[in-house]
Amino acid sequence: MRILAATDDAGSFKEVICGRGTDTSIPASKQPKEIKQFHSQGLRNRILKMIVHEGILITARANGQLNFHETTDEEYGLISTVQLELKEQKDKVVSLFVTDGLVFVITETGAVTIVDFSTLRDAEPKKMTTQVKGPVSTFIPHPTQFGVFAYGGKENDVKILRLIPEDLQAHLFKKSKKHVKLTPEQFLYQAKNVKNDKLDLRVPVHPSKLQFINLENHTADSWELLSVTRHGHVRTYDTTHGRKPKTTHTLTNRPILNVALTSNPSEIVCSDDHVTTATFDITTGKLMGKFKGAVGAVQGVHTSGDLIATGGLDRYVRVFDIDGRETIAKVFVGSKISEVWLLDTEDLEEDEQEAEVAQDGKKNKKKRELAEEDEDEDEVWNQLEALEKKSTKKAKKE
Amino acid sequence: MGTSEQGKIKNKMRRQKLFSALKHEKNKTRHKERATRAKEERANPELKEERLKNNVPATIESKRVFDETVGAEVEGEDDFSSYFDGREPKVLLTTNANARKAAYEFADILMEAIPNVTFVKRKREYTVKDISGYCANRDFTDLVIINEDKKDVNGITFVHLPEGPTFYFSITSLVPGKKIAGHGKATDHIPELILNNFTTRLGQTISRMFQSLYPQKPEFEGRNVVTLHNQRDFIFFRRHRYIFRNEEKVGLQELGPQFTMKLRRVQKGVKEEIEWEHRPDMDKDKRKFYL
Repeated sequence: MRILAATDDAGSFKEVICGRGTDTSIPASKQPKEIKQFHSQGLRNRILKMIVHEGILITARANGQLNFHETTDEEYGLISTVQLELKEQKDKVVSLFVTDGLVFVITETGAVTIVDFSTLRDAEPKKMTTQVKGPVSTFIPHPTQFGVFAYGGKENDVKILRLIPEDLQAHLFKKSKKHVKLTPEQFLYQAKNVKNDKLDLRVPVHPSKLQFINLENHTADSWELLSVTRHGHVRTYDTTHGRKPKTTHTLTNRPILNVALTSNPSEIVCSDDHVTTATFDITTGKLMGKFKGAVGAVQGVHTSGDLIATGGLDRYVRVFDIDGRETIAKVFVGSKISEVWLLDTEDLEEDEQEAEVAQDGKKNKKKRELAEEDEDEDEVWNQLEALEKKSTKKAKKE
Repeated sequence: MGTSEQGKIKNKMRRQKLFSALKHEKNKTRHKERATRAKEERANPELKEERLKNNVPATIESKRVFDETVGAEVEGEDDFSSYFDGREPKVLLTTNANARKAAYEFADILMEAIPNVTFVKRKREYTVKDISGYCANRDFTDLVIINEDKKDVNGITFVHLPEGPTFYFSITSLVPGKKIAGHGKATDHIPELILNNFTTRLGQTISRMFQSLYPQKPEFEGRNVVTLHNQRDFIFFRRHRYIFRNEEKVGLQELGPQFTMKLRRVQKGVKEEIEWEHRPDMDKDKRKFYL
């Protein structure tokens, strides 16, 4: 497995190469093949968001820099850098993604920067900016429809938005700037808050992450969305169903920070600001099972195939099997982690052979242990008998 | 089971007598052995050395569960970096809302033990987050909050400003200086600081937090020293005055207070995401330590 982890303390990212069964907490178990640190820039310039697209690693740093790195390069060479224009010093990047050849970076105040992915090898990659209504805590693209996005933030309920007119597809950066008009105010859907609670108090609004779900039901003017909130709710929206959420469940009383979809459409993986990372059933709101082990809050989650990687404040990268929920790898990286990315999940070849040997070894070991236990028990009984005999003799002497 | 029934001495008095006689015999032989061994070793000190080398007792510490973070280097920077770059500590001390006498008494004690500290009476209308904001604006570097419950001090919170982290410790075995036999009177010199045994990565964070409460002034006066000694995840606070009587002997006088802290929670920022939290099942394995 190759895992990338954005590490806060040194403001760098680390590459971890390890096989299945790696556990740095047990000296006798398998150790990671390699942990290497790249592009350290200090805590103040730490990486906030990180993604990999077509072999290019894109990182957004706290100082407003967008860096592009080559993942095929052993040293993760820097291809180019784009400086974002942050209005406030405390403004930070909340979302970073690539869709239709466009790199999107969105900050908390709602500043959207679009960079042309095809020109990132140029001296100065092409970019344009626009503004959506803030505050924003998450901003996501529609996986299939061009120019459609969803976002939400603190007291800023879920919205679906047509940011880029459809006729601009594929030539957003080719036309002159005069002809390009982005439409950040064209909302396709605006959600409404749920009813007041049983004490007739308003339920606070703060979606933390969104996901488009059930893509097969989507049409040009109807969508289905899933949102998790900083108040522990998970909500599903169906735009044909009305402006209020179709379902809402309270999973925990802590803020949910991350969400990942699984192969099962009714199950999601959530992580909160405590130590819990777990799968939940969104139709019933029930906890299905926890991913155990984390001691600190999980900050970054990434799924790839049937594996999920987590990294957080306890300075460990953990890889789990989503269905069985067992830990596949656990690696101490020495620094708080803000983001993780599973680059490839293939097991190292030598590891596979080793694993077989290890399994045989384990079976034998078990047998040996059992035999030893029997012997131990026999010994104890023998000793006891000897003691009894002794005491009888003494009694006779007296 | 039949044999054991037969072998047992049925008379309890006799059984006890027999047992005590046996024990006495054992004790006697042991003392004899020790006396002869001491004699031999006095004549030949090498024997003692060898015996001590071969006879290392197994302790919980020596059987400690492997922890890869022990001795791990502090990578890059953390929130305490500004202190190590020369920012002077300035501490605000307060209590929980509606605190009683015990909290104020403890605050008095802490005022003597922490330099450059200001006490402010807690008001109910301000949350910890509010207070942290006000303090950060006034260049305070740390906020310390004493927690009192049922007329007893039972916890203490440290918030490093301006951006956290937040630490919560429980407090037990608090003995004020006055109750310590032969105690001295503390002077208002800046004490030296001894941090013992903070080995893991989490332990290093804790020790850096305590360090950042005390000014970095190498020219110490007043010969007094604050010790924070970590043993099995309990942190012991002690304060002494020392004197070098001659080249070999050092005199110690305890100044007090004494108390024991146990880490319960570390949070990022001002009481935000959990970085580490004590769970009861962490005590299951007696050989596993986190600091």
